[in-house]
Parts: sequence; C-alpha cells; structure tokens
Amino acid sequence: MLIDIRDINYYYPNSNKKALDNINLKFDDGEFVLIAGHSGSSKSTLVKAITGAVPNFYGGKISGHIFIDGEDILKINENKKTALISMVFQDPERQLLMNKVYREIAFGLENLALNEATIKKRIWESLEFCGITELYDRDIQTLSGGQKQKVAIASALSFMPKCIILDEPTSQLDPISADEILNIAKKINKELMINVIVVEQRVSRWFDHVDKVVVMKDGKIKFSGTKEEMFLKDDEELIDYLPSKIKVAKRLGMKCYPNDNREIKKIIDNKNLKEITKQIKCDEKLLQVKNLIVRYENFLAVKDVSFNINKGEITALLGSNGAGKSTVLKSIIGLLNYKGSIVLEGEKIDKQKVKDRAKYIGYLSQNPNDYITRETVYDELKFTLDNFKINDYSIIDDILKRLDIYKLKDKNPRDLSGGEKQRLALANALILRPKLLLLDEPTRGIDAKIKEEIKESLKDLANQGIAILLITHDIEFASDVADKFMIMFDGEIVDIGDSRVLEDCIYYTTEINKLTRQKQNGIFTYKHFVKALEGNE
Amino acid sequence: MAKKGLHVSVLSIYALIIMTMAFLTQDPIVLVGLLLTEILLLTSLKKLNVVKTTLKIFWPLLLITILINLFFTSAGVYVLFSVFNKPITLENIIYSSLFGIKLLVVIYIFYIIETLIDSDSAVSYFSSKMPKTTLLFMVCFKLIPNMRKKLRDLKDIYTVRGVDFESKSRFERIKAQIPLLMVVIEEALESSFDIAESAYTKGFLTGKRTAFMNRKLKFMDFIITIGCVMTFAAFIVLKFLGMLDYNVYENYTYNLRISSIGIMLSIICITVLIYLNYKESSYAY
Repeated sequence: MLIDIRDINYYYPNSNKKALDNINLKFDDGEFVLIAGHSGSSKSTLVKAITGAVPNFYGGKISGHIFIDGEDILKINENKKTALISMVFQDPERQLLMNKVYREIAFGLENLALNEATIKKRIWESLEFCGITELYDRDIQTLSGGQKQKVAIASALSFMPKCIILDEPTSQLDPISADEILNIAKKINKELMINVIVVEQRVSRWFDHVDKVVVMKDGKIKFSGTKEEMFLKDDEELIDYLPSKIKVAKRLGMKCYPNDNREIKKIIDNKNLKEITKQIKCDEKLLQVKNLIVRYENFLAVKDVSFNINKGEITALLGSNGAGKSTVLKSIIGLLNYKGSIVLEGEKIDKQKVKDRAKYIGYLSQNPNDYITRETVYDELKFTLDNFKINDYSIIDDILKRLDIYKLKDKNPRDLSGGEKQRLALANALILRPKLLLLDEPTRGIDAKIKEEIKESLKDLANQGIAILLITHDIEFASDVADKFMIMFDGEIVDIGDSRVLEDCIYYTTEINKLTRQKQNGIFTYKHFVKALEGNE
Repeated sequence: MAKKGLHVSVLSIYALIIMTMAFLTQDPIVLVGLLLTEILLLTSLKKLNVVKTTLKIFWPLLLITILINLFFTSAGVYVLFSVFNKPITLENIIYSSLFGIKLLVVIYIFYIIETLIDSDSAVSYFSSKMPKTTLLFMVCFKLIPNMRKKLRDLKDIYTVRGVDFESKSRFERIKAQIPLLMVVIEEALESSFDIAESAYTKGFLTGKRTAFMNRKLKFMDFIITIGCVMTFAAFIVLKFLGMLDYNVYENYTYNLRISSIGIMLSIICITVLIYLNYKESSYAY
C-alpha cells in the first residue's frame, strides 16, 4: 500500500501548539517502517493521522492530505478504512475488549459485517499465523502480557489489512516476548507483504529489520530515509537514535551500514579493548533475604529464594514476565505474606507491618502517575510525611534539590513531564530517608533522555550509601547502572553475581556484549565500549 | 462450542421481568417467591457462596432500612418497642423487610445474568441491535475489573506511603480512600477513552454489523419467552385490578391470594425451564 503524507499540520483540540508540523512522507508498498523519537515528539499522533483517528476520533484541526493508494484518508468510507489499516496499541490490557480470544478477533470482523464462515476462517488463520491456536477459547484475563499482545496482533491481522501499525508494542514485555512480537511483525511484512509501521523508543530490536527509519522531533520530521542513509549522517541527535551496536560500527570507522553482526565483530576482534574497572562498593550487608517462599492460593510464585544486598549497591533483578520478580519486592516491603526471613541491618523485620518497614525501605511502583493526588509537588511529599506524623518538612527541599526538581516545587504534579513525574515518584520513595530502595521497572515506557536522568539519580543515591534493588526488562539500562545482577525464572533465582552473570546469557545481555564478550569482559553499553577502546587509543 | 443453552435475548427478557416485578410489587408472596426462586437457581448453579455472602449484607441493610424508615415515618399501630423515644412498629419492620427483599432480588438477578449469559455473546448480539448503548455498557464492563485491579495496586502503594486503611475509626478508613479515588477516577477516564479508541480502530459504529456465532431462536426459547410475557401481562393486569396490592401501613395482615400464588408458580416454572435448558460450561449465546 502506498502511503503519501503531504503537508500535514495538526492541532489537538484547545491547543495552539502544532502537534504535527508540516509533515511530508512517502511509504512504498510493503515497506517496513520504524518511527522513532522522544516522548512527546508526536510519533503516535502521526500514525493516528494515518489511521484517521486524528482528527476523526480526537477532534482538532488538520490541514494537508494523507493519500492511501491515491485516495484521501478523510474521504475513505470508515468501514473500508478499518479493513485497510489496523493498529496495535502499547498496552495490551487496554485494547482488548472481549473476554475470550476468539471473540476478541471476531469483534472487529463483525464490525465489517462479514459472514460467519469468513469470520471463523479469519480467526483460525490469524491465530495460526501468529502461532497461538491453542489460545482460541482462552479467557483473555488469564494470558500473559506477551500472549495478549499476540492476540492483539492476530486481531489486527484478521482484517487482512494492507497496513498494520504497531504503537510501542514491546515496551511492556520481557526480552523473550518482545522478540516473539518482532518475529511476527517480520513474518507479516515478508510473507504477506503488508506494510508494517512500528513506533518505538527502544529502536535496537527493530532497526536491523526495517526498510525505512523516520525520526521525529517536536512534531516535525527530523530524518526520513533508509537505515543506511541514517548511518552515514553525522548529526549527533540522529546518532543517538542508532542502536548501540550500530554506533559501535560507526565508531570503528565502518564506511557503510554493516550487513550483519559478524562484520562488526571482525573489526572488534582486531582491536585492543581495555578492561573496564568497576568502582568497588563496600561489602557491608544491608539486606538478607533467606529462603523466601510466596504462595498465591495454589500457585507457588517464589520458591525458596535467598540473596543479600550490600550498602550502596545497585542490584538488578531480571527475568521473564511472571517469574516472580515483583512478588519478591512486595514481600520485602511487607505487602505480601511469605515464609522465610528478611533481615535489614541485622534485624529481622518479618513481624513488622508495611508502615514500619516503609520507614527504612522505599518502594516505587511502575506508574509514576499513581503518586499524584495533591495540587503541588511540595504537597505531594508533605502528604507522605504527614501520614508518618513527621513535622520536619525541611527534608522536602533537600530531596527536591537532590533530584533536581526543586524548581518545580509549586507546580501541579499533573503538569510535569514524564521524567519529572518519575523523579517526583522517586522523591516520594526517598522522603523518609530509606536505607533500601525497591524500584519496579523504573524505565518502563520512558525515552532515552529521561532514562539517562534516572540513571544519574540512582548512581548518586547509591554513592550516598542507599542500596537499590530494581526490576527492569531494559538490559542496557541495568548493565549500565547495576553492580549486581539476579536472573529469575519460574519463581527461582537461577543466577546471581556481578556482570559476569550477563556475559553468560543468551537473551539477558546486550547486543554489544554479544559482540565483545569473547574479546573483553564487562562491555555492555556503547559508553563501556568507548571507554574500553579509548583506553587503547 | 456446542450449540446448547438458551438465546441471550430470552435470558435478558427473564431478568428484565423479574426486576420490574420486584420494583412494582409489595406483595410478600410474590417477593418471597422471587427471592426463593433465585436462591434455588443460584444454588443449583453452584453459586451458594454468592447467596451466603449477600445474605451477610442483607441484615445490616435491613437494619439501615429500618432506621431510615424510622426517621421518615412513625406510622403503624402495632408498636413492638421504642428506640430513642421513637416507636418501632411491626408495620415498619415488615415494610423494611420487603424493601430489603426487593434489593436482594435485584442483586441476585445480576449474579444470575453473570452466570447464565456470556458477556461476549451479549456484546456481539446487542451490538448489532443497539450499538451505541452496547458500547456504553462495554466500557463500563471493561472498566470495572480494571478499576478493581487498579484499586488493589494503589492500596499497596499508599500503604507504603503511610496511609492507614485498617484504622479502627470508620471515618479514618473512608478518609484514607480519598487519594486513591482521585487516581482511580483519572485512570478510569483515560481507560474509557482507550477502550473507545480501540473500538473505533476496530471499526465499531461504522455501519452494519453481523453477529458471530449468533444462535437462532429455538422452540424452547419461544416457550420461555411466551411464558415470561404471559406472566408479566398477568402480573400487570392483576396489579391494575388491585389483586396484588398490599399496603402494610393500612393493614399488616395478609390473606393468601390465588393471584399471588399463580404469579409465583409461573415464575418458578419458567426458572425451572431455564435451569433445565442451561448446560454447565456453556453459555447463552
């Protein structure tokens, strides 16, 4: 399908700021396109304009034209448009409307007024194509995040559209599920020759497989072209969007886009990479978890898990969705009943209530919006102090300054950016001066810039002696920030130790590590690589 | 899935007449009959836990109704005892009990609907008949479990933030919920928008719609529908003729009437037919 976007300008309702600013793009028939950009760069708005949801569903003012195979999208009949372009959203929870898998897929087809036999055929074929026929009459609530996302894709595919748009489809998935989604998207594109447009912040998974890359900034097109063209650009901002291994190739002086990882590896093999020295942390034990067992009714979620965390140490807890990682965190803070013992600074805390533990242990959940109930940033932190009957509010200013959000003190938390909200949530977790900080996916759904800010904040806190235990699916982030790694599968910690744990992994390591681990240990990120290389240049 | 059970529209009609009758009558035999029929049906459907849990709520509900009733009226002649110098009359208790039964009948019918009707089939069927109303219901049905899950998560977060949800004071416990409700309301607004957007991208409300696995009305569906309609028509006629009237404040005594027993028996027969045609592990569709 040919998609021709000409001079599109768009304002959301009641907004004077252009969300899309003079967009001109052309996607060829059967192209696999990646749209990248920071949060708020209007990537999603652009794809919603392609589906017609902008402005038909959202309202607002639009000018310009989007032609789909020569027809103006705004003039195409709604029913025909649905059959032409389908979309999969970021959060699988929120896009699935029915209870049963086959009903979910049938829902869209019923809207196209297809007959029963055709609907049945499309349901089975799309499930078969996505490799999930066994889920046919499963209750959607019982599926994992990855399975739900596959059902959403099967549902989109059942329309037999000419274009499928995936809006951050892997941002909430573990690396294994994310790879499965990538493979389905590739298969849809290659075998069915359907245009696939992916919107993503974490580009590395998709970059190798796409035909075209679009980078957006402030509602404008910063770059549009092939990945080979993007590789040749020397614009620092664009280089930031390259996957780490491609940055490595560029840094190594490759003149054209590498065909595969082996090409990069060959050059690396001829380079001397210096060993990266890691800061040695103190080995004073802060937290000891001994033989932790957690059961949800008949399901054993955590099976006899033991580990220690030292003062000032950052520990990353990695593993697939449903492995029991969040359960471990919730047990430490006392939100779940468990067997075994938890010792903090030599004192058993098993009998302590959540409120007592919260005086020493900070806990940060996945969604920073969950921490917003008051009218100002200051009041938000004061609320927590008041609940603990602490009258000394001077700490509020200290924490806000420490996290560099003091200037936002009197702002309404709802008006903060994603990164600022995340730091406010972090401030909430720090307001009682905890000794241990538990973070559940602190980088979920946030862009590279904000991630960098959080990384710095966490390193600062660790340097001040606070121990941090964090759950993340972002291996690059974990490998850059953490001192210790624990890998968890099926309720058990299967490996624990320093970065050597990741060197030994198939999935739970970074692309750069896969390229360099035979040559030199401890290189996981582009920053590490540059450090190792420059040490010898 | 084997094509067993009853048509979704038949069960909807059944639920609707039970609810309407409960709202329109004060006749003790009809109301108690409706309640007992529902309890028997729920028990047969292995939902005894629902009956037990709801009965636990019934007694405080009855007490509150009596107290509220007491506040507004002191009518009735048969004084049982006094509370704060206010006479509690037998009429007052009978009236409150009948009101409580009405509420239970309505609550139970929702559980029966939930058990007998597959919501997916209902959405599929009613979307082709009244799509906008169905979308509204779909948003609500989808939203409620999401909000329940969100509230659970938020309770964890706010417990860590020092909010006391287990205070001995009921006022404090209610006050503790306020910050959570603010987050949940914001979340609910966003979530309903997402649901509507997802429905929009799937072409909902764009034109004519078909219903997948739409079951044709069968003989038993017609029998039950006719039974429901005739019972309801008889109920309305009898009500109009004053043969189902009962005003406890005028005369608390009650004479057994053939009209009330007739209506009760009809409902029992229809319910038995529904149960016999309901197959476990299959839904109405």
